[in-house]
Amino acid sequence: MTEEDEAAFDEFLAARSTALLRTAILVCGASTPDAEDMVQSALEKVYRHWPRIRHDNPEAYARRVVVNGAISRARRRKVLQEITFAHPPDTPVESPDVGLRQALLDELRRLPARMRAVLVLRYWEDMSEAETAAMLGCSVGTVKSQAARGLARVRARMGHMEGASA
Amino acid sequence: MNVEEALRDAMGAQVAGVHASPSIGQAVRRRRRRHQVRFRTAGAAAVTVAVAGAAPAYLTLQDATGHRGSPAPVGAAAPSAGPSAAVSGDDVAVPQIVVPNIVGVAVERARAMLEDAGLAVAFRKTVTPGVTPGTIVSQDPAAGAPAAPGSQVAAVIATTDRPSATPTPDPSGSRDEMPQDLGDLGDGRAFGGVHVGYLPKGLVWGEWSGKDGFGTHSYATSWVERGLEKTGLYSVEMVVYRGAAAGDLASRVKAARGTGTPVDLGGTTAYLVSEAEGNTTRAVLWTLRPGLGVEVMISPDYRAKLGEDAADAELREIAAHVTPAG
Repeated sequence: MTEEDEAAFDEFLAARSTALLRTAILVCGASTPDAEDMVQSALEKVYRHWPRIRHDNPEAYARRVVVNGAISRARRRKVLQEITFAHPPDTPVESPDVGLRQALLDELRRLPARMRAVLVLRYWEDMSEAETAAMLGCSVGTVKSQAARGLARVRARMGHMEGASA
Repeated sequence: MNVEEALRDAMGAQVAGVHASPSIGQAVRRRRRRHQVRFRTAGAAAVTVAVAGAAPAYLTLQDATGHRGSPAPVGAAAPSAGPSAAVSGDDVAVPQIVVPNIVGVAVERARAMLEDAGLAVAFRKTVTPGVTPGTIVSQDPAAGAPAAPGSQVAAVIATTDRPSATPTPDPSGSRDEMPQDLGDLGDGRAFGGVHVGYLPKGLVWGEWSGKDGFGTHSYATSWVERGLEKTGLYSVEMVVYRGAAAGDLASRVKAARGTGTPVDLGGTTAYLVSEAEGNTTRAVLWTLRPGLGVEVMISPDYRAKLGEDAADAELREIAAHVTPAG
C-alpha cells in the first residue's frame, strides 16, 4: 500500500463513511455504536483490498459489504428487536409529524431484514430497482415485490395514524 | 405526503444527527493490523442479559497470525480512539460510560468490572515477562475515556508462554458451533470447519484470515501468487459461512440458480456467477451441507492471467475438493 493509496483511503473515508454508517443504521435498525462496529469491520475489508479496488467504485463495494453485514446482523437481532419494539408508544406525541415518523420507523424495524434493506436502498439511497437487485444478489422481480409489500405495510400504518388524528 | 416521501423523511430524520467518527480511519487500520478473534456482544441489550445470567466469558487467544500486519501507516493510535470510543459528539442521545481502569487487575475481576459498567470485553494474551500471568497489561480504550454502553474494551492479558494452538474452551458453550477458529491456519488449508483439498499451482496462503466479515459466523482467507503475500492482494479468496451467515449464502445460491452456471459436485450443485461491480469478479458458491456454505472468488487480475475458461475450471476444481473438516 503506497502513501498515495493511504491518502486516497482517507479521502474515501472522509467522503463516504458517514453515508455508510447511516445506511447501516437504517438497514439493521441497530444502535449507533453497533452500526459503527459493523461499518468498521466492512471498511477493514475495503482497506485490505484497497490498492486493487480504489479505482473501481470502492463505494459500491463498501456499501454491499455493509448492507449484507447489516442484514445478517439484523436477523440475529430479531428476537431482541421484537422485545424492544413490541410496545407502540402509548404516550401522546409532541407533534403529529414526530409521531408519524416514529410510527413509520417502528413499522420499518418490524419488517424482515431484506425487505427493510430494499426500502432503504430504494428510498433512502435512491437506487434503481436494478441497482438494488445487484446489491442484494436477487432478481429485479424480488426487489419489486419486496418493495411493494414493505410499502403496503408502512402505508397501512400511516393510514391508521392519519385516520386516528382526523 | 405519499408513503415513499414520508418514509424518506422519517429515515432522514432518524440519521440526520449521525456522523462517522473522524478517527474511523485509525480504527479500521488497527483492525487490519490486529486480526484478532473477536467475540462481541450484540449491543447494550445483550450485555444486560449477560450480566443478569451466567456472565459468559469472552476469552480469545491471539493466534499465530495476530502479530503480522503491515507497517503501521499512521502513528500510534490515540488511546481513546478505539472502536468503542468512536462515537462522535453528535450522538448525544447515546449515554456515555467512563471506561474503568483495569490495568494491573486480575482477569476475572477485570471482566466483572467491565460488565458491571455495561461494557463488553475481548481479551487476548501476549507473552509479557515480569508480569503476573493473568493480569491485564493494557486496555483500549484507556481508563477514563468515554464509551457507549455495550461497546467493547480490548484488554491484553499477560501470559508466560506462547498461547497453544488449541483455543481455550469458551465457557459459554458457543465454541461448539465454531469449529476451527483461526488456530489451525498454519497452512491456510483448513479453516472455518472445511478442508481445502485443491488449490491452483503456484498459490500460497495469503497469511491472513478474518472472522465475521461476511456475516456472523463467517470465516475468510485467501491465497495469492508467490511474492504477493504481504500486499493485501488476493488471487483466490474463500469464505465459509456457518450459522446465520449460511442462511444468507443459501439465499444467494438460490438466486444464482437463475443466473449462474451449475456445477455438479455430486450430491449438491454449486453455481458459477459473476460478482461485484461490473461483474468483474468470478465466484462459485454452494451449500456444502445444511448450515455450512462456501464461496470461492477469483480476483479479476488472476482471472485475466489464467484466461476466463481456465479460471472457471480452477474454481470448479477447488469447489470439488472442499470437504467438511474433521
